[in-house]
Amino acid sequence: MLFNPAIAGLTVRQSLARRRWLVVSVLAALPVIMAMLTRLYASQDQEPIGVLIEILSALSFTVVVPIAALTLASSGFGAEVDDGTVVYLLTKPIPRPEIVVTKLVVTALIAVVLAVASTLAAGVIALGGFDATRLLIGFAVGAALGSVLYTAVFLALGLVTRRGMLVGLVYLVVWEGALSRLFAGTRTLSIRQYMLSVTDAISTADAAVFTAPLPHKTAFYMSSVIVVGAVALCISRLRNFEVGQSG
Amino acid sequence: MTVELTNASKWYGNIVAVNDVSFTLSAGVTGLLGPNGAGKSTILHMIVGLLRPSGGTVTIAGTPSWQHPTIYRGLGFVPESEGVYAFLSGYEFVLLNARLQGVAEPAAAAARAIGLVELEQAQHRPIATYSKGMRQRAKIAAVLVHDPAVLLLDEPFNGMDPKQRLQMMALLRRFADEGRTVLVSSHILEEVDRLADTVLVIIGGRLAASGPSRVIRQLMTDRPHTFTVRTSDDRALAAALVRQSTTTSVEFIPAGMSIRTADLGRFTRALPVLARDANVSILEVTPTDESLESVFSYLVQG
Repeated sequence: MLFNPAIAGLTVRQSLARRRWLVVSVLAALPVIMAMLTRLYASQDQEPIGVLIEILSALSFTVVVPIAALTLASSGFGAEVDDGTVVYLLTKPIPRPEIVVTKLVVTALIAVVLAVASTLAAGVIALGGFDATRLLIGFAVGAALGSVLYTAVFLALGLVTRRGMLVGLVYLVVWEGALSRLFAGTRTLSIRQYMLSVTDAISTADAAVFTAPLPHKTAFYMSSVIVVGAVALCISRLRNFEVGQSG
Repeated sequence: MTVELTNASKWYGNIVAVNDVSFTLSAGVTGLLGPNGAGKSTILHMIVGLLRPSGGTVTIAGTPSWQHPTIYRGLGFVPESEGVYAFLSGYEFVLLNARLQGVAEPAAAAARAIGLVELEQAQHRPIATYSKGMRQRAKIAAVLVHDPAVLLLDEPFNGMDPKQRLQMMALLRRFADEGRTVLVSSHILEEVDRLADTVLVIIGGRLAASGPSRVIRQLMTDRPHTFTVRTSDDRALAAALVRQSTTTSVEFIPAGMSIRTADLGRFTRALPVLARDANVSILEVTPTDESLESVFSYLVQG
């Protein structure tokens, strides 16, 4: 068994405690509000599909999905090591993979539900329904994939460094923000690019309307590597976990 | 279930936290006594598999505790850390531990454990609102849910009031009488002395002394004591004191007199009588070396 219901229940409460539910709800609402505003105030010559791509790729994929995942994952292993509660999980006869998989699945699921709901709601409002080219569906799947990947990476970061939250933010701003725009090579290691690539793979929209720079295959393989790697790293870290030096 | 340390050591780079410690625990209460920073927590953490021994072995019922989560079926560990899931109520916290342990009837086990530590009144309040003593009891209830044969508690009496301390000691005694192995760390001699059958004294990461608590107590009380005494007429009292065979030295210091005695009991009985006879008022008597560290340094040198 790789799923532990008791850990699952705890993870839900942890990830939404301390007003994190408020932070992630506000984040998820941002694209929806933006879509409403553009419906009300956008000029007539703007194509709704262009507006949607702008909102989802610039706001949802760049800010909402990663920051929501970071917020939810920040309650994970890193916080538990910091406040000492990880001891209650570790001094139980539970195989370490079961702890890691349960935590990842539950945290990622919350992130996925939020991201997909936010994306679909914003899209339906901006377009007035679903588009024929499956672009909106593509964006929703991309958001789901991104939520899983970011959650996995940030959960593992919390076990690797005490500054997991900070390192996560630096990765987002510097690597995904600045560098992957300047240097095409860094795209291979950018979760945001995998999300765009998956969107592109699902959508039948014309390349003039929407296209992603990263090959679909690369995105697929890299995503698998990241999830497997993050899980393996978490399991190994937990197996070798030693409490801080004390009297 | 036996807990066995064989030449167990733990070091961090050049710093040795625990040095070549060997002992075997069996049923009954054992006190792990030592000043803060002596290595008590490190020893406990090695026993519960939260630290990898740098040398030697630590086993529970023959199984090495490092990287063997199965040992937790028969083991309960109460950490010193205050960290608890503050958003849960006491009951939820204990229930969570019962479910994580995989006990057959978690709700019944949680209710029973909460009853044992007498936390029923506050069980449905969030732990965030608990006093230190209540938190401590919630933590103890959490490790009682699976009825462990080995119970390890790191400074469990911290933050408890005297009444709670007595209750907890009675509870731990009861566990020991039921045949469980209980290990309690503390830096307070009186706690360990009242509770433990056997005492392990840890100083500077080494096992400095071990034995029945009666023997350890004698080691600690039959030794020279120093007092600072301030009176209305120090020299008059000093003259009377030096005639006593139990007084080994009297020194005048800015704060009064520093008096060293070889026999604590006779000295404390004689002091008021001597003062009355010499017509001297005693203003202050302070034991200057009662800190555990000085007791321990005496033990180590002795």
